[in-house]
Amino acid sequence: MERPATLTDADFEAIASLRTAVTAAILAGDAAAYAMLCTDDVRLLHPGTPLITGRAELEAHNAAMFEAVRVTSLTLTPVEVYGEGDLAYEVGTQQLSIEPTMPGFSASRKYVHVMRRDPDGAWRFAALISNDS
Amino acid sequence: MITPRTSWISTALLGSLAACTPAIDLEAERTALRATDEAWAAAASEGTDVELVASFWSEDATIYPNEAPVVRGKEAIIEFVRTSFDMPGFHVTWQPQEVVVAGSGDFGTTTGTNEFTVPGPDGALVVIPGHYVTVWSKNAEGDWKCVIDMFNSRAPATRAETP
Repeated sequence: MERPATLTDADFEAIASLRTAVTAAILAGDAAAYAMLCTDDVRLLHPGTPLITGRAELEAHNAAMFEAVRVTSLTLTPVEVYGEGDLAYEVGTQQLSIEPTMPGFSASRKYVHVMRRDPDGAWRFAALISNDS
Repeated sequence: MITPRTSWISTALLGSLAACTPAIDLEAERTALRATDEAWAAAASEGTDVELVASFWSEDATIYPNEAPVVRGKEAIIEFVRTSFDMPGFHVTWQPQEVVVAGSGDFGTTTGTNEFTVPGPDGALVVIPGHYVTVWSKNAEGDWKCVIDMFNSRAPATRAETP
């Protein structure tokens, strides 16, 4: 893209840490830890799922999901990270496996994560969407 | 040579220039971005004007469709739209629900719900409800253009009602 990047190295590092932290939370099945990485008004727009809005709703949704399935491997590979000021996005691919497997489950997906810098200075997920590759 | 006095003058000059910079009205920018997304949805829902619909994406935009390869650049996007509109019974509509604009006033996102009507495996039309996230940037003319576009299906397809 030709737009000038305005994120600092520290911003890129924080966003990379966010990616690492959410991967760890999902692999640990820790819905509370996942929720803490999200903004208060986060929007989860996952395939096959109604819109999930807000940190509390997201935590309840993920807790139920982690009860049903265990994510045994997950790799998020960023393709592009861009942002201006307090708003950024990351596009990437993800590979995951779950137990037990489910009908129609796709192990290979594309994702867009929108991130916002909260007033406390921390970058958090504001919107998460993915689809099948 | 910068003396303390010239430095002071420069600082004062920069300060007055900053004061002349118009403040960014983020609420107005959010309204403009929502209106742009809604106008785009209306044009796409008509399903006739390929060039108009494609004009809402930037020249270097990327579409990440559900269960399909990535579509990069305007030429590929025009073909993507044309192919969609040529599908018998194709219809798309969407509604932005949340609009976020960065403090810069020229970068933002919209999220919302969509609905595609397409021929199913047996040829009968099906309706697929979905989510979308779009990332926007203003071009040199100050117009909002979509640079990243991802959508998925949020529920199983259902048979379309016949008129």
